[in-house]
Amino acid sequence: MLSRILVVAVLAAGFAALAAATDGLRVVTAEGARRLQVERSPRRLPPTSMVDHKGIPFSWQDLQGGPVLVEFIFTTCPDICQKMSSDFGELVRAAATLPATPVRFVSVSFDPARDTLRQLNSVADYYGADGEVWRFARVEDPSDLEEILEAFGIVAIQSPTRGFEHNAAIHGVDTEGRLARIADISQTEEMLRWAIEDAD
Amino acid sequence: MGNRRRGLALASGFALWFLAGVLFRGYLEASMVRHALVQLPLLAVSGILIVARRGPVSPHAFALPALLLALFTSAIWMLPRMLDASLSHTSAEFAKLSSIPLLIGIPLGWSWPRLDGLVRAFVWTNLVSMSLTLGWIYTAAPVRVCNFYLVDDQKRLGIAFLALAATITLGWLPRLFHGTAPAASANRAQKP
Repeated sequence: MLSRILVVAVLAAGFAALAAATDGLRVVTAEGARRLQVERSPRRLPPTSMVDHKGIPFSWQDLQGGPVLVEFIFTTCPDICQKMSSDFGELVRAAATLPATPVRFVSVSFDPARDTLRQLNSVADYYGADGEVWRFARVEDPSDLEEILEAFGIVAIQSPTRGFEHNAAIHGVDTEGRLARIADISQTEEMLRWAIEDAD
Repeated sequence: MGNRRRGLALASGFALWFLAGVLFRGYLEASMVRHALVQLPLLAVSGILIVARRGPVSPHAFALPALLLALFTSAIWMLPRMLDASLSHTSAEFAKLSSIPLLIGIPLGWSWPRLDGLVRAFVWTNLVSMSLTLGWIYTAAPVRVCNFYLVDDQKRLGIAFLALAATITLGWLPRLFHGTAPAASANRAQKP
């Protein structure tokens, strides 16, 4: 009898623990957990000193007042970041056709060692980033990189063949300056729609 | 003699825990394959050694709940997010180093000889199908499941899971042709 009670107790506790570890069977990866977490409780961003490709310093708080879509890249990336940047460019152009959209775009490099301002400037030129609506950016002081990666939940690890491998996504920072939405890099239209709704 | 052997198993259990969980932690966790298929199993084995006993034991009613405890805890540590968490959060690393020997190794080591042969066969066959599934997912998945490991590392883990499934299956084949259930042959071996 006692053993049967134990079986039921272990089953109940086991399923409860599994449900807790998967946020109610919704996520099995750290990336999924990050996305769910910011959606549930939007996250304030630290006042890290950033600098854009024109050399103009800014902080995330400066961008408050309108939604911002953010991507993390490194400009020497051979594959995924190039796709991300050209998709971002298309999104910027799509947003420009809409009447008075206050959505801004930031492509942040997590490789300040190689992505100097000059490098960012030439990449911004190539993709047509104007520095107003869309800017390429990096941390002003490379020692602040960890702070900003941690705030967004970005993990970039060295790869012997690809430079870095990193969790690629589109990040939505809301009008109040909080990281509030994270989506796959293919979900550009959904993220633009989210930003426009957030602006209203 | 029995006591000395018992002490030896206990000491090697603690030594193994120290080697896999402390001394070679960095090396084992640097690769996804070593993390998932060397470190985690060794931590479980350290718990098994702590309760290991030689000689026959009789079936026990608590063996089934103990096995279930070990299986649920294993399922949780097989979630990719838990591997990532143990690398990014010290609390998750502590949870890993303690829960795997205590909630997988010890209940598994204690319950295994006390379980019905049919239940053990069920566990083995599920281990094969689980390894095949994970092997297939990790070799075919276009996305990385762990932020801290490269996509190539993930593919290697997939291949390792497929190899594990093949090894367990091949290990079982001879018994199939002998026609004796593993529990029966174990009992026979224990008789003087």
